[in-house]
Amino acid sequence: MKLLESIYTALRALRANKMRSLLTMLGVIIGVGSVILLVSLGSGARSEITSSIQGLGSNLIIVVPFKMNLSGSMLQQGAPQLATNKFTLKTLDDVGKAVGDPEMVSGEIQRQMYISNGSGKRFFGMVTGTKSNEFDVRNLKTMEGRPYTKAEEESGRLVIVLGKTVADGLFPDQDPVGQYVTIKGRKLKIIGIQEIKGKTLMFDQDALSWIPITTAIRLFGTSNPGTIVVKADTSDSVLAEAKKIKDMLGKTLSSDEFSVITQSDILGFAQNITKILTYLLGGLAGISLLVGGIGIMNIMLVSVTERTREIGIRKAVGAKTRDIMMQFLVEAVTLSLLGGTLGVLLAVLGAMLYTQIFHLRAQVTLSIIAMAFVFSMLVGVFFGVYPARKASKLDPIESLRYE
Amino acid sequence: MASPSKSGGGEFLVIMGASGSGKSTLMHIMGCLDHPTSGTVKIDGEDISLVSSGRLAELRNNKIGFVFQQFNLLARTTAENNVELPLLYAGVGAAERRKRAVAALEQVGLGHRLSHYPNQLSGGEQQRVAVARALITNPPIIMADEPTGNLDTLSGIDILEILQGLNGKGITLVMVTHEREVAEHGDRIIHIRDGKIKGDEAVAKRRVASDMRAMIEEESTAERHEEGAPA
Repeated sequence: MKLLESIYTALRALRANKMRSLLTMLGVIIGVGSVILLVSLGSGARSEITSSIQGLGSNLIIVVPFKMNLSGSMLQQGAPQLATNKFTLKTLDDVGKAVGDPEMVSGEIQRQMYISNGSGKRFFGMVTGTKSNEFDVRNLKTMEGRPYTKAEEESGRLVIVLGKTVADGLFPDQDPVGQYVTIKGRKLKIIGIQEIKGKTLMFDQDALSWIPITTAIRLFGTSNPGTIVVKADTSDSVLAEAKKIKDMLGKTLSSDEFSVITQSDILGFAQNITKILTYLLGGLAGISLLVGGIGIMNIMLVSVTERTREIGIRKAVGAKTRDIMMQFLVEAVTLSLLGGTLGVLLAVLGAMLYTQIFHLRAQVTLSIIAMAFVFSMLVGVFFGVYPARKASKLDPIESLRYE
Repeated sequence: MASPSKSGGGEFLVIMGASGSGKSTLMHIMGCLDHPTSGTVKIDGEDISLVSSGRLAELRNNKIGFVFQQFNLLARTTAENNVELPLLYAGVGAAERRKRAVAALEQVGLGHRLSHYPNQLSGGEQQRVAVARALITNPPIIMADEPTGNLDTLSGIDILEILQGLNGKGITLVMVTHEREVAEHGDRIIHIRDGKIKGDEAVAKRRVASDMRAMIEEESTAERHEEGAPA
């Protein structure tokens, strides 16, 4: 018997038991659907994180006042370091000397603060005190107004650049530039609005506000920068510059009191984490595909018993062991492939819905779909072989007598 | 089963015996549904105790047609598709299958029942579909296991008439029955008891199914006349 005839026979048998076929497929539909969806979400998250890290600029070097091990796995990471910050304004100068150009180095002092508009509206967000060259180092721009100048930074002027979300929250109906906000009882003049950067993984990049570092030292009562950012000339000189900084800091600080991180370090780390996350999600969903496969096997076994007489008849008129085997195997594979197809559709729909609702990227790639297809077919073959063998081995006379 | 039995080409052989006598088992072995535990069965000179189960399936497919007491049609499958089944396993193409299935169903007088399902057909019609299925591969042998056992007299005679017609065209027939009247439609009767052949008789006065039908129809007409019903 030809394969095409087997498929036709299988489809007819499945159609005869529509409800049962559908319920059996449901296991595979959910299995395949969730594998594709979760892997897509995982790889969507990965590409989002990747592009947001790349958005930092490939020649950016970040120096933090604690030990951060990005090359090891998450398990080796251990608890977050809570060592006291040994960075001072002098460290900032030292780093500037190390790279030979202080204009390429900025320090950041960051605090979560209430920002109010003076007429009752408050916004709780991150306020970062930086040097005036921060905008150049971090590649930030203002869409309205201007960044603060070096003079404003050095004299500790009460000026602020708001993110778009902060500005819209505090001044929904008016132009915020030129208005005043109050932080910790001090009035700061809004001189600029930062260009919209959007959301990265639910984190709103536009909910940040920027003030001169000298102002921040006064406002926050601390002069220890939490981060030092350095811009290398080119992306090729990043490693060399990072080494200079490391060597210089190593003279005064111990190895667990600072870390020098480049974009590729963060990228590698983030990709490592998201890869683990994607595999984990895919693996969990794979279990449901396995359960779906067991469902197919269960139903095929019931079907073989139910159709013992049919098998007897087919054998009596000349069906070979191979023909019966093929018939039931094709039936199982058809179930799993149909389920797989519906699962793919479901996943694509789910991914679209996910993007719509959460505004996060879900990357449904052809290779994931192809993989899920191959897997669902393998599930059909794997879980179909045993029932099909059982059917094909039935004795024709006994099966004809079966009531 | 060590008893010798032989069926020459074109013979209408009947196997008779009480239930449990082994007549069906004999037919199953002759029909290549089972390997014999001892003794030999030869089909066209081929010893079937020596061949693989795949070869047995081939023999069932192209040398033998089966008709069962229980009809054994596939449910949820049209008469035409039921009849086509042996050709499907013979690897015949769809168009050719359909043509031959229609011809076979016409031959048993069911040309108007092609797309009916078994549960839409009477017992007699179902058995005729089964006969059409048995003859569609043009086998040299047809085996019928109590083919009239589940049918009323007239439907039974229909079947016997078709079987006698096939036999007339040179097909060898082997029929199992326990009814003397049915058995006498063949031309040789083998009696079986406890798995052994106890008798082998040539039928002296062979019944002809078409005559039997005429007789029964006459009788019922006469009865109706006696009851005063219109003819």
